[in-house]
Amino acid sequence: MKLSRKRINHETELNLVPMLDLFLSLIPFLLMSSVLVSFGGVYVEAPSYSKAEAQKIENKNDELDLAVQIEKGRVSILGYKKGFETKIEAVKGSFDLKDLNGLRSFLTGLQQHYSKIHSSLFHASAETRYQDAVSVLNILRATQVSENLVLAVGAVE
Amino acid sequence: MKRRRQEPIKISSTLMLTPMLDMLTVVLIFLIVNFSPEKAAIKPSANIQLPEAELNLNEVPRIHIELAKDHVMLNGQTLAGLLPDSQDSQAWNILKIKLEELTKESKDQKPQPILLIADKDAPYQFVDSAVAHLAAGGYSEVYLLTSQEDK
Repeated sequence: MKLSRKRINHETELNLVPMLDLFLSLIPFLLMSSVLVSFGGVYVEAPSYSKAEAQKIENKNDELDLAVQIEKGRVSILGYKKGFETKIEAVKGSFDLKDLNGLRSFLTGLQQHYSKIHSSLFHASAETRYQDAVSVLNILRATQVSENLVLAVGAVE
Repeated sequence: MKRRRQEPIKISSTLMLTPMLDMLTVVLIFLIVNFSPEKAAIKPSANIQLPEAELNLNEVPRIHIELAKDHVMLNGQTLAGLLPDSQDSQAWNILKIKLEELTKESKDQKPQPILLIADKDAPYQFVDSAVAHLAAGGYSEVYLLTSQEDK
């Protein structure tokens, strides 16, 4: 007697439906909670007594400090030696806020002449548009012109 | 002559899920890579248009201060009686108290970095006053929130 062997056809198909369910719930969640606007940021420092004292001690002769001021639609830069004690007449510039390319190349030029630009002290007049102040701060940070970028603010009682 | 009866053609009606799954996987990976819970927590008010800058926000501070014409908000809560152009130091005390509470809650109990949010057309005086009072309270690390422009 012959035994006939029948082949059993096992069709193994991966069940993708639960995986699809998971994906379809994760995607709306991530889409809803993700930020559509790409945020940027400019890091600045507020004045600090301890840092100012340390800076006075550390500053050497070949190092430079910058005072950056925005007033009446122009940004002016003055160079100082030794913790803002001695003004350097050769280092000064004034630029229109509408065209900041000049400021960028001025700062790049300073980097080539001085071994280190220690601090940049930034101040803007009260009526200055915040966007203008941020644009100048952005250039100061982006060119990596100085180690510290400190906001000069009014005294608080 | 007998005609052969045409046999009905079997059409498989299984939904092809594989291409859909491929696409969803790509979308999911993209969203997971770009997901940042810290950045998702930043929610400026609808009437605030952020200034533009090219720099990236590498560190996202947990303390957010929003300065608008009619309010000052700390982590989404309006600080009653405080306006950003207020010259009265007493009015700023509420911010100081709230910040001290947040510092006490933090792990190292040290002043944390602050994220300042303001409209691009706001006068710089708002930021100046806020930073002055933050500095007086010992908060020296400040990030100015911007929307990132293309380089």
